[in-house]
Amino acid sequence: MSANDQDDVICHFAGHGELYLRQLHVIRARWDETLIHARTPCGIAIVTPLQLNILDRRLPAAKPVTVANPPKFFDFCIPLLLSGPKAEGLLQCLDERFERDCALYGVARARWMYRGSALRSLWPLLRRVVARAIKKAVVLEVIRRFFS
Amino acid sequence: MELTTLEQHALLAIVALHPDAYGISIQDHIGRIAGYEPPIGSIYAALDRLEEKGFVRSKQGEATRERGGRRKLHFLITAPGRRALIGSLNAVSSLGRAARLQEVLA
Repeated sequence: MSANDQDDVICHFAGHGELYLRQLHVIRARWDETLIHARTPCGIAIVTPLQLNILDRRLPAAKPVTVANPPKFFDFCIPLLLSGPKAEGLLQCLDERFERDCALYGVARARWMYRGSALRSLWPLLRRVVARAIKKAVVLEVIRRFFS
Repeated sequence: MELTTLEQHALLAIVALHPDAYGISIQDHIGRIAGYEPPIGSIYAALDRLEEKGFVRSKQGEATRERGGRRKLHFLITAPGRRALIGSLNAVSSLGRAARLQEVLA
């Protein structure tokens, strides 16, 4: 599609999708060749061209196909390695980076980037937890030997 | 008290970004200025160490619009942190002078 087509679609989306946007509390929308990525408070809503047609006809059943969220596995891992507010802060940072990557590279690639970034983040945290555990064990062993 | 390179860079980023220093902004700042981007987990591990030493303190911000409305954790440098940073930077500068770095690298 040409640049003009892109502009047309964006205008079209912004004009006719106003009610839809308001319903979703969309913060920002981005268009690529096949999909519209609309950023919402709960993730990235992906709207297909078919739904654009729905919006065009102003039918009430316009819902996002999927709401993209980053992999949930790390929501469980990271709080095991960091204290409460810091784990929340780190997950917020990963989410922020995920949103940015979604807008730049699309959801699928952003998910992989999130996984990579989260895995690279786990290692230094794990190392720190292990170092702390070893330090505690050494202190306890010294105390135990002193009193035995 | 000695600081690692990452701790030093994180403290400098906190000073530069005050009062909006949190994980991603610190990572971006280091990437932009120092030319390398440490993993966000390494930054949090360094900040955790600095907080234990009393060089920074953290403060939770408002809930953000990202998934789950998680709150940002902002970091502020403390007076001992500022002293440690200045000491560390002076030490690096003195070592550079002692090695006559300018002459060697010229």
